[in-house]
Amino acid sequence: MTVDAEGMLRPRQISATELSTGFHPSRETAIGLGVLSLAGLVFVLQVTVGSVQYSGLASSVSAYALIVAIAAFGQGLVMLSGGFDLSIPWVMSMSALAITRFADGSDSRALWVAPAILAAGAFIGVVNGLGIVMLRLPAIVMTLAMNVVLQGLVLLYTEGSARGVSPPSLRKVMDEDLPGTPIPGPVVLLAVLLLAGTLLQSKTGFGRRVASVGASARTAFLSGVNNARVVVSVYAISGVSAALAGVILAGYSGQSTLAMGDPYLLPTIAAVVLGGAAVAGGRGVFLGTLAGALFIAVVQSVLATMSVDAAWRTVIFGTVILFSAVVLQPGTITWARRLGGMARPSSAAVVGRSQDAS
Amino acid sequence: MSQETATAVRVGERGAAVRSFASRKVGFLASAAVLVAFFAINASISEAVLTTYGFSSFVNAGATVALAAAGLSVVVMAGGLDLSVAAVVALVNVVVATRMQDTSASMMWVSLLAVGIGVAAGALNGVLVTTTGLPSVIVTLATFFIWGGAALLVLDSPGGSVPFDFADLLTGVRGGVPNAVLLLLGLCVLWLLLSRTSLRVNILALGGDRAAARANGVPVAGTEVAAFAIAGFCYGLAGLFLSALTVSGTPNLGADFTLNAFAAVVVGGTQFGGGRGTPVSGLIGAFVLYTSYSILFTIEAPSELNYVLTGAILVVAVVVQNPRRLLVSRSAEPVSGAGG
Repeated sequence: MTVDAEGMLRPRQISATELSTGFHPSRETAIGLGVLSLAGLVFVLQVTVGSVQYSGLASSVSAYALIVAIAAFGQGLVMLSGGFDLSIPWVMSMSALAITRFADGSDSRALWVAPAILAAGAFIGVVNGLGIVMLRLPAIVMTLAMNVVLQGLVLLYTEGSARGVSPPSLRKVMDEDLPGTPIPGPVVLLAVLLLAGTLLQSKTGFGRRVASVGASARTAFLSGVNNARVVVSVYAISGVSAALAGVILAGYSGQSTLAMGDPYLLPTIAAVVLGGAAVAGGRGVFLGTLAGALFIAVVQSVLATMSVDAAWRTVIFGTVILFSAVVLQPGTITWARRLGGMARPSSAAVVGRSQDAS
Repeated sequence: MSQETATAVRVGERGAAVRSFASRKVGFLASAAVLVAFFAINASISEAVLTTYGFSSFVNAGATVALAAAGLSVVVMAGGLDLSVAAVVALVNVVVATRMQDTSASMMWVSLLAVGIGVAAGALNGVLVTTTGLPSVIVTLATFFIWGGAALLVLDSPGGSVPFDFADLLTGVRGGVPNAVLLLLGLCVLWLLLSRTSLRVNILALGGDRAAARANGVPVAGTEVAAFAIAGFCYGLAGLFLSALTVSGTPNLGADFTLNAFAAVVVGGTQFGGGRGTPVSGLIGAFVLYTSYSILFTIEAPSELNYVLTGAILVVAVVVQNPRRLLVSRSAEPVSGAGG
């Protein structure tokens, strides 16, 4: 069963490819796999044709993709439920500043600082969710306000200066390859993240409830979903994932700077959209989001290694987002639908024919 | 129908009309009242703002965001959002700072060019939204990068200069009245003139219910492009004013500018979702924010509190403007992740 754009539960239709191969990807999974292969292809071309050194490229691309993908996991769940989380930048900045300030190069201190940061992220997310559910604030207003309030509080507390260095084990995980292999540490974390994210988003009742709330709040409610609980939960998860992304970002940079989360808001939204999720909610898989994050990472690295002017890099990045959104949004192009198995005659037509026969 | 009943009906109609006017304008009137109250508080703790110099610097400080917020309001009224506002203002700003010479002909042509760039950028946003059918948030997220990149192409780091005469033309004072006030009033008059055409109603109809607007013969695509183009016109003015105020160009205005413009729209009483509002409220909302910043500055509070205050004002403004939303039962209107 899938939830369609009108929020109706419909039996999933079976495509010809599915019948012939036994492989039955949803439209979003097909897009995710496509974007993932595209990112992989660009990466391979960079190493072979572009003769960029493999190890440095793999490490920087996977680290950037990991940070974006972690934050975009929460953003993706929020967007699946129909909202936006604009508070990600300063949750990330706050977490990065906190891990270097309070753990300051000590792994043992990080053992209690990191969980405290994640708990703070969850708390911030719950406040976002409660504002949206209890005060009935538009998500954009609530999370925008949360972002700016956090910015003010963090700047007040730190008095405008970042202190400390990140815990050594965190730096080690981000910088070094898996022992005995050429696989960078972040790639392993990406694989774990993909597994966990896909399980939560596509294989649990919670994930289906989030999608149903995003597809149609009313239908979900009438089907017995506790909308308020779902909404508060997705914003809480987004708070935790943004906090984790901030901690990882500090680990990768070795230190923290004020506003270091600011450049990450738009890539999180772009990753979700590139992954083929519906901007208005109701459809999306985490494989797509992760593929989107990797794609953004390789595009950025290509533009950087081709020594394209920063200005042109920005223009090209914007054009890529726009073009991909046009191609990938549900309903904007028909091949994506066919991949998703929509080319079969509709069930109504089949029913009509069987009635004629009887 | 007897004469009494007819009169009663007429009185009733008038009552309903007054009530509907009041309920339609409640956000606008409330924000105007808050502005007056905040300004009075500001004046009572520091008389500096009542001097000609103090008042003109207050108006100049808020005018750039006010102009941008007026434009953004039009997009929001039409049911859209525009994340590209800061990039368009920056693009206009750097063009002015790199191209304007100290002759009156150059000032005139570059000003026209600046507003033209604003209108063109806005119209292109509108065309992209209409033709792709994508949510305006995504389209303007992409064009934010495109206009922002274009600004960097024109000027890759803060610099350039603006002739003093041009700066004085927009930010100076004539006969005790800051020129910026005249500019803002001029924009209000332009909007009043525009309101006499069908465009205002079409924009509100589009924002209220797109399908119903189309069914009732509203030229949906044209109206949408027009709303974004009007917004672009205001961004052009904002970029011109910013150039006059800073007498230099900055290719990257940062997240604060976007935030302030959005906050000004909300505080002014134009609600996300469309179908209601006026650009004039964007002007008022911006000055409510800048009056509160001015109060914080006067009482020597740390400037970081500006951020916290902006967030608090945003939330309070939305709740106060529509208190009935608080009472909507969860079963009558189940909430989605989008809230509202």
